[in-house]
Amino acid sequence: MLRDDYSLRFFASKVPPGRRSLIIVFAILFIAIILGQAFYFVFANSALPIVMGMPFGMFAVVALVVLEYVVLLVMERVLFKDEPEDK
Amino acid sequence: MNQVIILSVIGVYLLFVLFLGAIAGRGRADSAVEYIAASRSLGFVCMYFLMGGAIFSAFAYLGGPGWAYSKGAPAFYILGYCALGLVPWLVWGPKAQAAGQKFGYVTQAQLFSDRFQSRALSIIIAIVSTLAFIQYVSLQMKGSAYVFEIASDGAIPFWAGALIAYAVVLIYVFFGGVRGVAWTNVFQGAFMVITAWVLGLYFCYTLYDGPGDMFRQIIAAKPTHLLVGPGTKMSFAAYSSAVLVSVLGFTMWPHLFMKAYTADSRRTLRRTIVYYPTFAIMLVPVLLIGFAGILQVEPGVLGAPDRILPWMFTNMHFPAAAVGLVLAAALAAAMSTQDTITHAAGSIFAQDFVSVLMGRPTSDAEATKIIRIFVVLFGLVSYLVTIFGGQTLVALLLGAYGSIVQLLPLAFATFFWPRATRQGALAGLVVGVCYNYAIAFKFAPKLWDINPGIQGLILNIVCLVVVSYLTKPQDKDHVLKFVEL
Repeated sequence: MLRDDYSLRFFASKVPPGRRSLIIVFAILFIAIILGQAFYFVFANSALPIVMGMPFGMFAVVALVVLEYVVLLVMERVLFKDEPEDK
Repeated sequence: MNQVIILSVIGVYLLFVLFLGAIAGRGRADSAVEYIAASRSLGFVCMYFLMGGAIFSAFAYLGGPGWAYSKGAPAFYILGYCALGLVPWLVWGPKAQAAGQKFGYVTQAQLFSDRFQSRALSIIIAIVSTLAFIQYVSLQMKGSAYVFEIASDGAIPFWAGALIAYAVVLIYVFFGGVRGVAWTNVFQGAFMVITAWVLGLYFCYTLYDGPGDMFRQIIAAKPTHLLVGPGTKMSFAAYSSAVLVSVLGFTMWPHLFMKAYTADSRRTLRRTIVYYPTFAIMLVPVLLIGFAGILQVEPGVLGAPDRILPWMFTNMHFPAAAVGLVLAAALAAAMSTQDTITHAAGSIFAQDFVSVLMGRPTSDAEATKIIRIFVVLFGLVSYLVTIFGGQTLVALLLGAYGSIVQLLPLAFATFFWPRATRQGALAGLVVGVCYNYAIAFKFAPKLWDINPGIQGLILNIVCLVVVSYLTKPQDKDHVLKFVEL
């Protein structure tokens, strides 16, 4: 019993199950983007072709930044659209 | 004559920032919560630029082009980590903000030391933070010194340039508190972004036929410059671990973490995180400036790579007023970070070190006085490190990240792992920080070219888990109040 009470808790008890699933989906997306940035050379360690004026590697890094921004915007709309202001 | 105009523009800029910062705190309550956390009242625009100003620093504005110039593709890591830096804050930023409102914290160490019921933890965090802050502020002062040195064509020596930036920041942090820092960062942030875009693209189109042509010429002259890995300036392991330690460590910086306490609401905090990657996009033209310099000046002529941005502007026959504006923007980048950190260092020393050692909370008047004294002393020590230290801007930053990322397991354990104990937290932190510094000072080997911070972090987590399971759990009701935020 004691062991259960002290176990890892990724969510506060007030967070409903449906919302937890959504949060997990976004968490996986962000982890993928972080790993993509850290290991970009696995798929884009090349100077050519030049895309939008940038070497391919730099383009890949910038594209991941844009993707991250889009995911953040989507996350805000999906997870927090009904959340009241909490001043 | 040109130098006089350039320095006049910079002088006007500094006076304006000084005025803005100094008046920001006027008419506000003379309390520690106001001085440190702006009475928890900052809205989205202030928060956005406050956080942005912290990353759009001398490291990004001068060190970024310096790396693009001297190392090439490794500079891409700056874009990646700048964009992702605040993402981990989605996990604990709102929780930290709620904890601040509920329990009255104004610093990061107050949260951790309360969770783990440990005054020693507060003192250790204060020491670790201050040591890392010195490296970080030294980096900004170095950037400012380069600006003055080049703007005056050597008439203002390195030591005097660093001293001027130190004095200006000191005055408005001293009088304006975090509100002064926020107001100046809004102005400086907007100023930096505009100049970066206009002038970054300008170089690509005047010196070359656009960025594409510029990169083709670089590839022809230096085929491996735009790659990472064996035979380049950075190994795969060094690149990946630099990104990871920076992303994981970014929000652990006490001066950023404690900004969770300045936001007026969770929504403001979240919106700041959502819009933060736009700052990374704004860094793209800054790197272009460094790349544009590769075929324009030999490293031997330039001296330090971090001088490439000011060198480009002073050697491309711009009108003197334009050069002055650009150098003022570079100065803004350095100062907008220096002010945030100087302010945080003073606050942390007063709240997490002096107050804890005294064994009683300090009064508002006492706290504000101690913060101001330490702001002066901290700046002085950083100044001496700037003058006598020798590392490049980015190397200084990566070194500081190695110790700050060691606070990450504490944040995770505070909000998600009730079983973590005081002994586990202390053991993990001390081992992680000591191991990081042991590698930095070459007492321990740097394994596989992996960033020392990441190696220390792994040891830190192992110690936290093992020692926590070997020791008695803390009071359940106490630890659960942090998990349930």
